[in-house]
Amino acid sequence: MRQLNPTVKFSVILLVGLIVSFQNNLRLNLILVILFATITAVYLPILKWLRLWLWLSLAAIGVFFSGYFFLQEKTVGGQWYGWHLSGQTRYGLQLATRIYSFGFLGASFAATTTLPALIESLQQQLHLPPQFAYGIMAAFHVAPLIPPVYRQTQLSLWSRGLSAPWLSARLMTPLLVKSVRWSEILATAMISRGFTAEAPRTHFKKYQIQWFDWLFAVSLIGLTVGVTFWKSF
Amino acid sequence: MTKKLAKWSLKDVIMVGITALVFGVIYLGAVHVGVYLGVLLTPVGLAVLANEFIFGVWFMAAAFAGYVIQRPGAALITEMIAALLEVFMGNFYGPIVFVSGFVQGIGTEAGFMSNGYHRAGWPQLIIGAIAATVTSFIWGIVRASFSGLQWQLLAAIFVIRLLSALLFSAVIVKVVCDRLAKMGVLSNYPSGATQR
Amino acid sequence: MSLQAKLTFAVEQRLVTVDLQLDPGEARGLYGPSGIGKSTLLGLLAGQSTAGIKQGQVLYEGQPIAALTANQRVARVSLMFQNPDLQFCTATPRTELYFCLENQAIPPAEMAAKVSWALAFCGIAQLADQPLVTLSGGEKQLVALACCVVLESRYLLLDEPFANLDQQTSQQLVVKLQQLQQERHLGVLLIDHRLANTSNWIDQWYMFTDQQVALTTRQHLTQQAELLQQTLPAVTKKSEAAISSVLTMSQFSLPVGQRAIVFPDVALAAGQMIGITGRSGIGKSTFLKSLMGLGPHQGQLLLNGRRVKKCRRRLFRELSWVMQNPQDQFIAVTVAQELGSGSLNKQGVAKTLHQLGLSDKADVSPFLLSQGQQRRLAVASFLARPLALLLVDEPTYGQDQANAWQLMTMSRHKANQQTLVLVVSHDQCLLHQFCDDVWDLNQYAEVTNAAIKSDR
Repeated sequence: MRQLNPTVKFSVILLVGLIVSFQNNLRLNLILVILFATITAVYLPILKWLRLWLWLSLAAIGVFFSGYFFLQEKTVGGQWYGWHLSGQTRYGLQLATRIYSFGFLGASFAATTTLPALIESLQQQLHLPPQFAYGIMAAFHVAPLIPPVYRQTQLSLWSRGLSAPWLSARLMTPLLVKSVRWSEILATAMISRGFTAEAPRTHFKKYQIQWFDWLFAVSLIGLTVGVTFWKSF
Repeated sequence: MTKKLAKWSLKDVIMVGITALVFGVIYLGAVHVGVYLGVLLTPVGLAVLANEFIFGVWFMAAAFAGYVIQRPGAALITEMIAALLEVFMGNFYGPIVFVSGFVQGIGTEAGFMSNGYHRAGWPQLIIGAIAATVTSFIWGIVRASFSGLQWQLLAAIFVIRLLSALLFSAVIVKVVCDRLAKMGVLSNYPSGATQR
Repeated sequence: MSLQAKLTFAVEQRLVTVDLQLDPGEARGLYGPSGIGKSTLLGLLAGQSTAGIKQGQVLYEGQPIAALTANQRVARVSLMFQNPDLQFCTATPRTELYFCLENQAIPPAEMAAKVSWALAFCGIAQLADQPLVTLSGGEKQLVALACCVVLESRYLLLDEPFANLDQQTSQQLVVKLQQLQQERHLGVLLIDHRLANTSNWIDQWYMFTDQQVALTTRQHLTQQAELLQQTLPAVTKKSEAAISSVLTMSQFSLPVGQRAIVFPDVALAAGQMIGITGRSGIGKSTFLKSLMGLGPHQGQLLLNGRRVKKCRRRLFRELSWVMQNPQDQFIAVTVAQELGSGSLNKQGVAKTLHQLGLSDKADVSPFLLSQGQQRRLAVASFLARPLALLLVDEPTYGQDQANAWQLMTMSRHKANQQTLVLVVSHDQCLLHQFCDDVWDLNQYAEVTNAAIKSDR
């Protein structure tokens, strides 16, 4: 997965996600979960992988019960690989497995791709304009400064004897002031290093679409479409 | 499309990017609450409601950018940048979030489009909040396959999300932006210029 | 063949006439009070904008810089900024240098060698692939310097490059800059408030006054500073013996990296002002933060008789924290509201505005004030509330002498009103003049964590 072209990987996983979205296919969901949970296990440390299961399960169990209790028409159930499932259970499972399949599809992407790699590849494959490419990258790299500033703002309000309720305009204003200031400072710094959106630029790292990218795209989309049209019960 | 994108300056892109992250951090503050609430609501099957109360925070970056930058595409592009950043900030749903970003962005954008991007004010933010609720609701039904749910539950989701959107992406965004403009922080942007 | 600037430009309704020249291989400084427009001038010299220029232009080797695009300008001039956190857009020093070269459309095959050379020149080859967020302020400044080196600019303009660095790191940077000046024949122009940083290097200084920028010598500036010192108002230290202690520390120590700072047992009373100094990274800010319950400490820490454990709002009923950068703390739309958002009433606000010399700025946004005014406003907005403990972090950072003096006077005044004031600063001289006691954290028993453990 790491060797794949980031743009291809992103697009294919996005497309598979869309195909999953537009149908209620328990079999497809389960196949994708098994496949991508396995792939994710290769790339994620075991503890992170288990934590992913935990988070997804919390969400999945939640929607399972929503589906179970609030199904529109209580349809009759049926046999599924020798299991007897009531209509409610089946609907609940469809919802829950969908959460897992989205989760593992997404995690397999995030675990094997970095933002700079995707941005570089989007520039080279899809001609993303450079100010977007490097602007997004710059914003991403100041992200670690944001939580401390959030805290700082809170303490600053407390220091004046004011409260700082979460999501209040009072707390948010100083944070957004900083977004604007930081963007000015960063842009100035980048421009002073010779950045301009108009001039041609070279790329140290080349991203190309190779045979294994095509293989990945064709086989995964083929699998998804194939299972979609496989006679479901 | 490329012509429209070319109008964006580096500073604008960084600004909306950082803004999106700031709202993301604020949102994260609530995610824990959302999870606990969700667990509490699970036995009665209402866990899907837990996140709806803060759903409006998702539209804030787009509404903020649209209101401040006042240019066609500002809200939409911002929401997509926000989604892209989010994928790498630990949202494990991955690339599919990008679709959500697109759908929500289109909704917010509709508000600013409603008067041809001339001047943004309350009506534009409110229309944007409503439109974003509608588009995200439709996409939510598709993505999570909620079409099979009883209409009462769907209505509850819709109403809560709408209220949340109005509060966060219209009221709070407007109040905060007007303050920033008065502080002189936005003097380089259209919304700051109209204030003076 | 040089950088020449003959121009008139506008800063806050003032017109400033500049006559400046810098030759390759020459190093000069730019000196002047806070908020006078030094950074604006540097931006103009680098050709980043022409906004505010009323007359004249900036020429590099006879060519106007403003006519060039950003990627053409860097061949002539590079800028370095004072905030080390906000100047990079990629993940590591190496990728940042690639970014610089890509901007110049350098063929990829030549990049690796250039980058390795620039990193080695700046002495940061070992940091090449470390995430930038994990580097210290000084290391980041060296990376910024490496960017200028890799771009091979002929001139280097620096905006307070030492502002966030301690003396030792500053000297390292000075050595590198000297090397660039002498070996690579670069023209260097830097803004600094403290002549001491470059005392054995730069002799020629441009003095920035209200109306003009003109050449003078370091000697002359030093003399002027001494003269100004004599005109400053005297310090009044009113030390009354307070009854109860505000802050009590016993067996108090702080982990900082691999070390620990061990503090003596003390009980500090209201009405005292204590200065805290020491080199960067020694743990001055860590110490202030520990007093607010941010970060761990060992031993006992009592504020008004109560243990400080976690950072909670309750704690801030008795203490306030004045941060380094005033812009980090503004919360209101106007200057008057900024002062009124605490516990001051209308008359109080008017009186304070008068004291700060800001009466005519009451309805102006705090962000539109000059740097010195911002700092005074920020400190003043924390003084109205009755407090047991006031923590002030680097109040004089980036300030000229007169401003620094006024800020310290304000803090001292608060101490005289029965508050315990702790001030962190690099400026030991100033601390000794205003404080009852100065703690040099360098002097405090500094042992490794391992040693502490084996002690017990």
